[in-house]
Amino acid sequence: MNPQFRNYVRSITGQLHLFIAVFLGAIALSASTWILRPYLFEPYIRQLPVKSHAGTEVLADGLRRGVANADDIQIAVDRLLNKMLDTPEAKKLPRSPEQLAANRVAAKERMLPEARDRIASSLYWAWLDQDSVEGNDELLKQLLIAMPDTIIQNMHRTIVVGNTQQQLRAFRGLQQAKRSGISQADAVIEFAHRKAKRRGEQAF
Amino acid sequence: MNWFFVLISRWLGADARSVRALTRAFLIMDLRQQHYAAATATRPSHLLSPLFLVVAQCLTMSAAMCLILLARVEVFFFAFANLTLSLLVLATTIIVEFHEIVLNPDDLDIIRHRPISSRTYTLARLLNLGFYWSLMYLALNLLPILIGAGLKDAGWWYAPAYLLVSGFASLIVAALTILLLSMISSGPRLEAVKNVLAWTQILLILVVGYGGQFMLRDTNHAVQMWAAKPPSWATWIPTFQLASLIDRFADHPRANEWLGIFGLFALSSFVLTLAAARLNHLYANMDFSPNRLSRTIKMPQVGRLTNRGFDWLLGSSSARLGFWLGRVQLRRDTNLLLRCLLPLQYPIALVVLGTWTGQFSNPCVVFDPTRTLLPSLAVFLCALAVPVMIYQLAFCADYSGSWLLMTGPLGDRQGFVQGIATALIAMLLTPLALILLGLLWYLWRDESAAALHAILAWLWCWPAARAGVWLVLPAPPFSVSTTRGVSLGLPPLPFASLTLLAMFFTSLHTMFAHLTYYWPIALGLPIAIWFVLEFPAGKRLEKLWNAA
Repeated sequence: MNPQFRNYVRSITGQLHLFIAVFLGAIALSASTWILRPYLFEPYIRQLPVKSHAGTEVLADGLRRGVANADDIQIAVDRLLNKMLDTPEAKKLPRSPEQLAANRVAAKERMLPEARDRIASSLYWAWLDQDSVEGNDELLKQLLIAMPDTIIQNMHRTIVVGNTQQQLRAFRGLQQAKRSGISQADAVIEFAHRKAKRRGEQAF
Repeated sequence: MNWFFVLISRWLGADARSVRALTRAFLIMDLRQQHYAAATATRPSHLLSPLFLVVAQCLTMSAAMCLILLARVEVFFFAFANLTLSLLVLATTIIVEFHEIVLNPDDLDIIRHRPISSRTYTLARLLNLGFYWSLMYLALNLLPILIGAGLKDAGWWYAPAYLLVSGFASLIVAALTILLLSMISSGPRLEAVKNVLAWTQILLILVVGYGGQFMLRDTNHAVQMWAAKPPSWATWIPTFQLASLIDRFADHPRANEWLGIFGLFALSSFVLTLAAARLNHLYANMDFSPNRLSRTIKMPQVGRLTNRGFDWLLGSSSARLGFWLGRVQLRRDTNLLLRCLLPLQYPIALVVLGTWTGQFSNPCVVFDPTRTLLPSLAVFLCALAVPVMIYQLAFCADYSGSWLLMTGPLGDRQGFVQGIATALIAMLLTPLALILLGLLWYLWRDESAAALHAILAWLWCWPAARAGVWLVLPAPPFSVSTTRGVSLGLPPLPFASLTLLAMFFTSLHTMFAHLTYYWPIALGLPIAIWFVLEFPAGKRLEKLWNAA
């Protein structure tokens, strides 16, 4: 490196100029985010896919075609729960057959909400991940019958983190939930309107 | 401009010429202090000052936060996260890094005999502090102001709102921090507060670095959901109220919002006046004692050096001396202790991240690398922290007393350094291994696997200490002066090699930990390596001692 340049950078003026250069770089970075936001940031904003569990695709298809109903969703939850109880971690704990039985009952109670949540999220994702924004179909109808609270929570999540298409579909689903008499949908619809208005989006 | 400065100085009862000279001297001292030159006792070949590194670090942290949040959250949470980061970093930076610019006891040696009034000194110190405040404020808030203005729901009023709120809040936090530092009367209490607050920095690095990763990968989108519907307790967080003010102001400023801004202005003016008056009082009495610890040590009686039950582990008298000195220095030099604690952020962060994301399964039971990689890595990162600590041991506030070590009749230098490393492991890493044991036991419900992992982490600390002495120790322990930002100057090549080695062992552990015959080898290997490293570590120490 040129000794003169080195001396300049090491001087008080040089050090202050370094700070100015860094802050100018920060301003350039900010300006680039305004320009590149639609290309670099917004395309990656979406609700992430939920891991599907064995049989949920078939179940979703059955619900969509009207050959399955809300009872089949409960069967899927029980199947997943039994699978969760058969993991090595769950098996390793008990030391005797009595402990095994007692432990299994306790574990079942503990793991039931998680199993319900996993199946609901998986089926909700199967409903959400469609090309059409129209959400009024048999699959959603059965989901709203089987687990309305969890589905409304999922719709709220989509309104918060989803891309435009996902949000629109969730909004249509919320409207269907409202028509079905699910009161929890009202607050989420109001939230979605407020958010869209603040962001200058007219889609809702 | 000059006449205005003279007028203001005269009105404040200060001598303008002295203020200008002192301020310039303070700035030169801080800008010219070359980190690598002073810290490694080598020729000053690096251009960047420690201050520049700290500012760049803050700017990077702020940029990471903004880019992670951009387009993912609304104005409220964007402002909340950035304000929280900014104010916490500002406060901890003033406490941990820059407290010398407020109350520097070393100034007494230079200016005590000169006719400088306390008001002159106060004004110069405040101008110096103002320079730092401006740098830190810009580094932490410039990007949130500009990038945040590009959010979809940010109106035209967002930038002025964030500028005003963050500016006044930063002034309040800086002034309150100074008041707090100056009011904690006794040294040990101040050091204790610094200890606690310095952990905030570790937590923040964790939040930005790993929290961002968590947010991008979490399929439940927990962070965004929290932001959309914050719990009621969150309203008690001061930055929550500030972010709400920015949010309302950015939407459409009404009389209430203007009143809120005016309230912040009034509060910042009041707290700044209090801080200035307090500093002036301290300088007038030249009472720098709150920050000045006694540098004397309560010496044990000759021949009665005890190490609380550790003597059986320390073979020679040199090792016992090293253990005692290491223990004493870690207790009395908070800066050294914090620099040693800093590398522990990585295993702690991995445990937290792994637990949150459900990727912290027991490698003895589950054979799924996606779920067992993080616990395996956490074990080896505990050991990887030790070479960093060994590196930090070279730098000490009491470095000027190191001639005693160099010239004293120290029979067994390797034993001496081994004693210091033993103190380090006993004081910092053994408690960490015990915490790891408890945590793994709780998470896995498997006491034997938890114990094996905690013992493995602890055992690897010993060869890691010798590897640290061999590869990264830049000078004999406690012999080099410490400068700001010293913790950033780790030698890259040895650390890259050690990191690669840790990753290699992590891979092996992930693959074979469920096999019974893996464990005798895994537990025996660190002991064998410890013996192997004795020779190169000893040779390196001889070289360092001769060079010193």
